[in-house]
Amino acid sequence: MSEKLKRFTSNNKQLLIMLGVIAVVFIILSLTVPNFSTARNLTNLLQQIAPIAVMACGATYVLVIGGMDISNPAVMAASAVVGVYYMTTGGGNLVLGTILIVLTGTFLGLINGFAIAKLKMVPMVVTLSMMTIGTGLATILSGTRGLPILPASFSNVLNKTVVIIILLVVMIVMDFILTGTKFGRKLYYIGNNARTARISGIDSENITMFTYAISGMCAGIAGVINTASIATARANMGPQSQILDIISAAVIGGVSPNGGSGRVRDAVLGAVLIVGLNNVMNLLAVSDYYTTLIKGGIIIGAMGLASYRQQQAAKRGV
Amino acid sequence: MDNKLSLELKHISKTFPGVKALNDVSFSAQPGKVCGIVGVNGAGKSTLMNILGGIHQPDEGGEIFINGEKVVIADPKASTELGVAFIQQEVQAFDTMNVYENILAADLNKWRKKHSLALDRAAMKKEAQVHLDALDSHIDVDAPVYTLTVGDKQIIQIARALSQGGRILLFDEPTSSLSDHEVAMLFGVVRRLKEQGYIIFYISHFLDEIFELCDNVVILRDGQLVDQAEISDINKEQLVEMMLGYQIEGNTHSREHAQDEVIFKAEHISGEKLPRDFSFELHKGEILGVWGLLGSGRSELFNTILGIDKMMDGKLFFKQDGELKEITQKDFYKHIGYLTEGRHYDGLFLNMPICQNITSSDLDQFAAKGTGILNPAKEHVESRKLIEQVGVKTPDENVKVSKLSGGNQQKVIVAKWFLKDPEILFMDEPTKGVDVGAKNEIKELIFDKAEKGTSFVVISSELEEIMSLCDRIIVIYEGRLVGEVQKADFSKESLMKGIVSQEDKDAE
Amino acid sequence: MQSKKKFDIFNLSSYLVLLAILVVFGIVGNNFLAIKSIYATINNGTPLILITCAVTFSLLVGIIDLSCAAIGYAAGVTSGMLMHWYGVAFPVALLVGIVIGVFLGWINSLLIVKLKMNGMLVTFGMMLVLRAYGRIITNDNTITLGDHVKAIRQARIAALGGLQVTVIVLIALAVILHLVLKYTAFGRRLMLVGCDENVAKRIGINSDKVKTQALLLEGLLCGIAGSFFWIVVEGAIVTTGLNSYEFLAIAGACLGGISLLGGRGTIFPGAVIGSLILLFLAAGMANAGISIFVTPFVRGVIIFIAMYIDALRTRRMMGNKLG
Repeated sequence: MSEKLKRFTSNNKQLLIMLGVIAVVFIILSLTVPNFSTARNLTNLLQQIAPIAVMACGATYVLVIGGMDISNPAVMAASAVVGVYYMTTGGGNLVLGTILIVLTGTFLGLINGFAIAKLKMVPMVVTLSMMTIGTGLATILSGTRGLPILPASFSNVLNKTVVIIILLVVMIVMDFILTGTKFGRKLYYIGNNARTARISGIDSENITMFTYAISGMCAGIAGVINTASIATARANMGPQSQILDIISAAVIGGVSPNGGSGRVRDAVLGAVLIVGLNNVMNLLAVSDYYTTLIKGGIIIGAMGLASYRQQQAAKRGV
Repeated sequence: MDNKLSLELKHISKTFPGVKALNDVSFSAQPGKVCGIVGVNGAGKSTLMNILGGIHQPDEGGEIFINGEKVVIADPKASTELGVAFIQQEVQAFDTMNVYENILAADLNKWRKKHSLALDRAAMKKEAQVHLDALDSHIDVDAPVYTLTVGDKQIIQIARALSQGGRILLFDEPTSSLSDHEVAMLFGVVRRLKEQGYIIFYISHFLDEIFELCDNVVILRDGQLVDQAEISDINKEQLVEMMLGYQIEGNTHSREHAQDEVIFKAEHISGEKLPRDFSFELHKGEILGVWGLLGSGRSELFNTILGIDKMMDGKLFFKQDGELKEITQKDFYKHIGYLTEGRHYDGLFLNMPICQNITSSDLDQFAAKGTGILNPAKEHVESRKLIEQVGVKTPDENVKVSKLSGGNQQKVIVAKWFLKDPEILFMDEPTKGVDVGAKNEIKELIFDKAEKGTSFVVISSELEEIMSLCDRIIVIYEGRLVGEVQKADFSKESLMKGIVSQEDKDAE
Repeated sequence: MQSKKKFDIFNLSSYLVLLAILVVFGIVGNNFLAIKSIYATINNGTPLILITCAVTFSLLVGIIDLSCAAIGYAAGVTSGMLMHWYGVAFPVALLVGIVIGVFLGWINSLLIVKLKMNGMLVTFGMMLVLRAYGRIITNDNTITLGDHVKAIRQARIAALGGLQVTVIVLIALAVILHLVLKYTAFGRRLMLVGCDENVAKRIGINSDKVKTQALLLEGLLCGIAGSFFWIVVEGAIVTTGLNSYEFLAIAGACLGGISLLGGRGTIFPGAVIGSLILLFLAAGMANAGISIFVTPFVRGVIIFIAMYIDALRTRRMMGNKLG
C-alpha cells in the first residue's frame, strides 16, 4: 500500500506541488483578502481563468514537441471576430457561428503547422507573422465601429457554468490524449529526440502539423469563451502580451520550454495561479503595472526554475 | 623551417576507468616525413590524438618531447601554441563566411590596424593568400565558403592550421568524404608540406592511401604499439596482419544454416554520393554482414535503403504473401527495425523511462484500434519481459534510460526492436562502445532471433565479430559491392581481397 | 577557385521589395514621394531603425531578444522623467538612458549566457517587467517634454531640403555600426559564433564572452533608441511608446535577410532596408488611404513570404542539413 502511495507521489509530484501551492495561497487569500472567497468572485475568477487555461492546454502540446506558438491570442481574436461577423453582420446561425470560431482557429493553426512541418520554417517566425496576420484579420473584419452585440441567448447558453464545464472537458480530454494515447506519446517522443523518433518510424512531420492545428483549435475554443463573456468579439480581445500568461502558465506548471515533458492538467493549474494572481491584485486594488511587473518576475523565475531542473537532470543523467 | 623540429613520445599510457586505452607507447617522428597511424577501431588512435591535442593527459611516467624539450600539453590551447594542429575528418568551417575569414578566424585580434579598431582586410587577405599559395591552391580568398567543395574546405582547414603556426600536422581521416579528384589534390598538398619540413601524421583506414602517401607507419593494436616500420619494408597483407593481430577462426558458432527463401532484394541502390549501384539479396533467417572500411558507405547504404537519406536510384523488393514484390521505402519501414550507430544521437529517448523507450518502436501493439488509447499495464508487462529477455540490468522498467550504462542502453535499443519483431533488422555497429560481456550477450540474442526466422543485416568494423556473427558477408568499397564471401570461406584475406584488388585497380 | 560572383537574386531581394513599395505607393498615393513626406517617414522611423540594428547584434549570435523595445522604452522613460522632474539637461539624461540600456543588456546576458535560461522567454518576461516599470514611474500619464527637447526636435538642415538632425544622427550611427560589424574583429567574432558555436569554441573563441558583448551592445543601442530618438520624435513620454517594436524589429531584420538562427546578416542593407520596408509600407498604406486596420494584415503576409524565401535560401546554402 505504502509502495503504491510512493509510486503515486513520485509520478504526480508536479500535480501535488501545484495543488499544495494553490491550496496554501487560497487559504491565505481567503483569510486576508476581503471578498476573495465569495462565490461571486470565485466564479468570476474561474471565468477569467478559462480562456487562458484552454490556450495553455494547446501551448502545452506545442511545447512538448519542442515547438513554440506565440500566435495564440491573435488567432483567438481572429477566429472570434470571424465567427461573430458571420453571426451578426452575416446573419448566420449561432450554432454554426460557434463552430466556425473553433474551425477558424484550427485552420489558422494548421497553416502554422504546415509552414513549420512541411516548409521547414522557424516556428518563432511563422507564429510571429501569424500573430500580425491574425490581428490584422480581426481588425479588418471588426472595422472602425466594432461588431454588433450578439443576441442574449448566446451568452445565456454559454454561461459561467457551461464555460467551466468546457474548460474541464478540454483539460481532461487533452490531458488524457497526451498521456494516454498513441498520438500523445508520440509528442513526447518527438520532443525528447526528434531524430530517434524518426528512426523509430514515427511520422514527425504530420504529427507536428496537427499539434499546431490543435493549438489553434484551443485558441478557437478560448475565442468562444471570450465571445460569450463580452457578447461580441473585438480585435483587441487577445492582446499580444497575453501569450506570456499562456506560456508562463505552462512553464510554471512544469512543462519544459525545451520540449519532451509536461502535462496539460499541471499547465491548467499554472493558469489558475497566474490568472488568480491578476484577480487578487485587482481585489487589492494594486495597480495594473505592479501586476505586470510581478508577472514578469514570475516568468523569469519560472524560466530559472526550468533551467535549474534541466541542469539537475543532466547532472543525474551522467 | 627550423631544423630542430622534432616530436618524440616516450612510454605513453592512458588508463580510463576499466580500460587501458594506451599502454606504454613510444615512437618519434621526423620532419619531412609522413608518418601513417593505423589500427582498427578501439586500437587507441583517437586517445593518442587527444593526448597530443591536450584533451587527455597521459598517465604518470609518459613524456612528450617537442624539439627536444619535454613539454606538458595541459589543454587544447597549449597544444596549439606548441604548433600541433589537427585537420579533422569533419570539416570545421563557417559556411556563410568568406575563405580568408575562415582561415584567420582563430586570432582576429592580431589583424587590427594600428590605432584603429578596424581589421586590416587587405593584410588578412594577403596573409590568407600566402598560406593558400603555400598549399598551391587556387581558392579565391573572397569566396563564401558554402560555395566551395568539401575538398576545398579541407584545404582551408589546413591553411588555418598553418596560420596558427602549426608545424606538427595531424590529419585524421581527411579523405573520407572526398572525391577521387579531391583526394589527389589533398595528397599534392600533403607532399608539399612534407617537402617544406613539417611533421605530418596521417591517420586513415584506407590502406592504399597509407602506402601511397606515407614514409613510415605506426601500427597500434589494443592500445599497444605493434611496430613502427618503414613503408617500403612491408606489404599490405603484413600490415593488415599486424593491425588485426590474430588469426581468425571461421565458423565458431554452430547454427543451422539460413533458409534459402529470399525475403528482401535491393536493386541498383544509389544515394546522392554513396552508395553507388548497390544490389544484394537477403534470405529468411539469415545474418548478412556488410563489411567495409570506415567511409566506404556502409551506413549510407542503410540510410539510403531505409529512406533516411535520399535514394537517387534503385528498387526494393520484399516478400509479401509468398511473392517478392516491389515496395516503397515508407511501406518497407513498417517491416523493419533499424539500430543506428549513434546511440545517444538517434537511438534513445534519454530522458524517458526504459519502458517507453522499448515500446516506441511499435505503439500499435498497446493501442486500442480506432481510439488509439494506450494500455500502460500491458506496456509494463511486455517491456519487463523484454528487459528480462535481453538482460538489461536495472531495478525496474521505470528508470530513465540516461541512468543506464552504455551496454545496458544498447540492450534497451535491441529490446526496442525485438518488441516490434520486424521481419528484417538492420544493425549498424550493434556492439559499439559496449564491454565484452555485453557484446557476447547481444550476439547470442541475434542468433536466437535469427533461429526464429528474423533476418539481419549487420555492419561491424570488427572483423572477428562480423565473421563469428554472420552467415554471409558482402564487402562494400567506395559505395560499391566488391565481394561476397560465404561462411565456409570466411577469412580476413578473403574479405580484404575485394578491397585490395579494388584499390589496385584504382591505383592504375 | 570557382563561383566567384554569381548573380544572386536573393541578395537584391530586399532592395527590390523596397523599390516596389515606393513605386506602387508613388503611383497610387498622394504625393507620397515628396521629399518632405519621405523625410517625415524616416524621421518617425528612427527609433525602429535603430532597434532593428540593435536586435541584429543579438540575432547574429543566435539569441532572439524580445526585450529590445522595452529596454529602449525603460531607458527613454527614465531619461525623460529626469528632465521632467529635475530639469536635467538633455545630454545628461541621454547618458543616463544609455547607461540603463547597457545595464539591462548585462542583466539579459547574465540570465541567458551565464544561467543558460531560455533566451526568448526570459526576454519576454523582461519585456513585461520593463513595460510595467515605465508605466509605474510615469503613473501611466503622457508627459510632454516640450522645451527640454524642443531645440533638437526642430533642428533641420536647410541645405538638404529640411532634413531632420535626428536622421543625420541615425545615419551616422548606422554607418558606425555597419563598419563595426563588417570590419572589426569584434564583428567578425559575432559572425563566427553565430555561424557555428561549436566550431568557434574548438578553434579557441570564447563564445560566452562574445554573446555577452553582443547583448551589451544591443542594450546600448536600445538605450539610445529609446532615450534619444523616441523621446525626440515624440517630444513626450507616451505609455504605449515603442509598443510591439520588438516584433517589428525582428520582422524588419528578417526582411533584411538576417538569419534567426544566427551567423548571417548585415546592418546595411540588412537591418536598415528591412526596417525601411516596414516603415514605407505603413506610411504608404496610410497615404493611399487604406484603412490602418489592413496594415498589420498586409505586414504579416509580407513577413511570412519573406521568411519562406529565407527558408529556401538557407536550405539552398546549407544543403538539407538544417531540415
